[in-house]
Amino acid sequence: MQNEKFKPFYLFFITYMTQMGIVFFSLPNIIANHFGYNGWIMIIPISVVVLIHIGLIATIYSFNKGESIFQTIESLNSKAKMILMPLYISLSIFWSILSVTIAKHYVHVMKFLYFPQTDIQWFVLLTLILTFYLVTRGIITIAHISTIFFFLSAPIIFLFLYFVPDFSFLQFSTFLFNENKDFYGGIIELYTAFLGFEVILFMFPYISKEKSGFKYVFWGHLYTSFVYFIVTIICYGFNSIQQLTRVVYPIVNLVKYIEFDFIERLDSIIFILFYLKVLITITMYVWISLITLKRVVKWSDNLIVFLLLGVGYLSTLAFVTKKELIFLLSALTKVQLLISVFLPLLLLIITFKKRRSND
Amino acid sequence: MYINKNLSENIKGRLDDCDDLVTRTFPELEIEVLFFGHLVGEEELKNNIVQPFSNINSDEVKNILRRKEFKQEEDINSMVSGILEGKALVIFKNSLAYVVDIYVPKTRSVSAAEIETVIVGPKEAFIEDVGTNLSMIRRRIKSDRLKVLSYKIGTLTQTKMYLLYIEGITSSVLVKELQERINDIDIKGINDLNQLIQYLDRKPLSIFPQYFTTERPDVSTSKLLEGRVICLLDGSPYSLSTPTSFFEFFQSPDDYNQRWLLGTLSRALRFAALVITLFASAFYVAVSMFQYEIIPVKLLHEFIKSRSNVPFNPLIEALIIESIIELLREAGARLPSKIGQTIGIVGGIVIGTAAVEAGFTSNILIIVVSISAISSFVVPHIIMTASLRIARFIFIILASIAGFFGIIFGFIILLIHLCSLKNMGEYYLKPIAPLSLKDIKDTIIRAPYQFFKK
Repeated sequence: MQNEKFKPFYLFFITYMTQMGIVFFSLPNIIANHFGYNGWIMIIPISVVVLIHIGLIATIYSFNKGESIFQTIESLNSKAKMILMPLYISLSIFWSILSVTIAKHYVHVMKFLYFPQTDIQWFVLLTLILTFYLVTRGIITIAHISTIFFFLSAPIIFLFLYFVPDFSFLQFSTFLFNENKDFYGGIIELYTAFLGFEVILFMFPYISKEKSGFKYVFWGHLYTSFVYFIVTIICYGFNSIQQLTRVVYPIVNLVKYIEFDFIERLDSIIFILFYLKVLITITMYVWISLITLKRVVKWSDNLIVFLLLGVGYLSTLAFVTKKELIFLLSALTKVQLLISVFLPLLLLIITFKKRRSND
Repeated sequence: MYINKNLSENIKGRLDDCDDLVTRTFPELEIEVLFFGHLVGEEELKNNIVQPFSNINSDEVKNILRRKEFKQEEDINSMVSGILEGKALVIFKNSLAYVVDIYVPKTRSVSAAEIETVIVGPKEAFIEDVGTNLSMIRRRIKSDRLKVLSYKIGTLTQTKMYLLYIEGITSSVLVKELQERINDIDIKGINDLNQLIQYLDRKPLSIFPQYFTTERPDVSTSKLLEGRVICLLDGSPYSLSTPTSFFEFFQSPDDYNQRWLLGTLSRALRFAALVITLFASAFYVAVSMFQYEIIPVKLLHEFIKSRSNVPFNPLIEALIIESIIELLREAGARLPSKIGQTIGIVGGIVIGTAAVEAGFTSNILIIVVSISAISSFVVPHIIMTASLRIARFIFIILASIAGFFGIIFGFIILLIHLCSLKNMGEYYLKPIAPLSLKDIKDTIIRAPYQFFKK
């Protein structure tokens, strides 16, 4: 399916759906814990920094004219591929572990909230089956599916209108960042909430070349920021800061408040609908690990994905409790943060070097 | 095979033991006529054969045989197949053979559509004779760009098949691809277009129909104008069109014949029916097994009361009622329409009320299952309804395993399957995947005609 390409507007959906993950439910809590009063303001500067970060990726895209990043790296030296092979393998294993951890974390929260008696391994396996099925359909189907999932889950945002009558500006207070505990740690935490846009790096050869196609990545990111922003502001206006610091999943609590004549306690439906977004995040990471490993081995997609998911599953088998999972996930996302910062920088250096030698 | 001597004996030898072969001789003219009496029209026989050869002398025979309806034939195989196709074989002096087409199909006359009924619009439907069906389409598209390719399907049945497309609108790649698939079919015989579809199928394991069939010539015509290929098969009152999209099965000619707002709203209603028929029963099972908390307190009281007498778990309960509905539907389909109504009364009223009173099921479940059964019949195309029914049972079972998570799991599998399905190189879920806002105005909604570009 190397020849098939998708229209750039799918980048909007892929960016948004990959960025948005389980962190959405705990975001106000993270912000309140780290930044204290009026912490929601921090979303804006962090979002701008991420925007610059995406700008870096866009620069690489326009300089290399849609060439695959693997080609860019390997063009440096004819023997580069041999040296890079261990790196490719370790990156691909890292991403498969990361994606299984994300899956496990979501599933754990779901079990904790709605299926207290079920073993999480079952849900993890079901999720991996879905991931396997989706990844092996190819990137075009993934792009299509993320568009459909977007339209199925996007209307949830309108539910937050329900809170407008009970919204109170009194909760905001006039303090700024008082009672903050770990400001710099908070910045990193918040930054990782936006992670997911870096998968676009691997999609260059699959984007059909059209003018200013990359703007959809920016729009996707801005939409994510918008959703984070709205939801956090509503949480801040609805809860006191003390409540926010104590409730781990403030959004779930918020949704529990919604009550209609014909349906009560929408939270289970909403939370499980969120599975669609989490699945796309997992799928994207498995997909990039698939195409990375494909540079090294010439096996069929089915086999590679099966092996990757197997490795991911087995290596996270020992992590079961919430504390362990959160520890693992935060460690992995920090590594991913480093990758997403240094990979574009490296690519940019290579690109400039190439351009200079060409001139 | 060219045989010029003793032709009559040879032909009769080939058609040995075919007692329905009629032989008519004009001894003084040395003419022998062979045909199957039940394939030819009496009037045609009289006008083309009997009258010309009566009351003439042998010199004039040659003049008659020079008429344009007499086609000289030299290959014995074509002579035999000509007779089998309803032509009359005229043998002159036991050495020269001519075929005359006097075939008149004996089928019913054109009548109103029975399955795809409409409120506003043309009523006529295809019949079993392919020539009549073709004439219905030719009558609607009077253009030389409408091309018709003829095929014979089945080594024994030699069933006539036509492939229709409009030059300049339909892509030639598509026509070529379908031609290849038709040429690949290697069977003894075929009875109906719906069987042919299964031979053309490249995804036989999917539960969804891969080709769109209709019994309405007006729908077939509009498919042609949209750039699709149409197939007609002799003996089948249907036409198939391809490439097919999922949303085609939710369109009815009524949408186009009524005003656009009404058309759009009735489409919205059908999509709502799609959601209800897929998820209503599964939702009931999920709620009553896992997520009681979503029921409002006022309703919860009634809900528990209605379930309190039921000895089974919700899965068994739902499966029992769903199976009863399936039995009723199947019985209704097989019975003559007059008795069919009785089935409705017996099933709907007697079994429904009795099942609740006997404590077999809860009232609420009866309502849920009935609504989902009614919704399944809102979908205008029967073949899609059948697919959705299978999916519904899968959803019920998944809901009993993991509640809403099970439903979402099944739903995602279904979506991925639909997204990756392709029919003749086109995506099945078009225009949703790939997303094309331009095409949505004639699939999900029905925009006013002024919005369509020519």
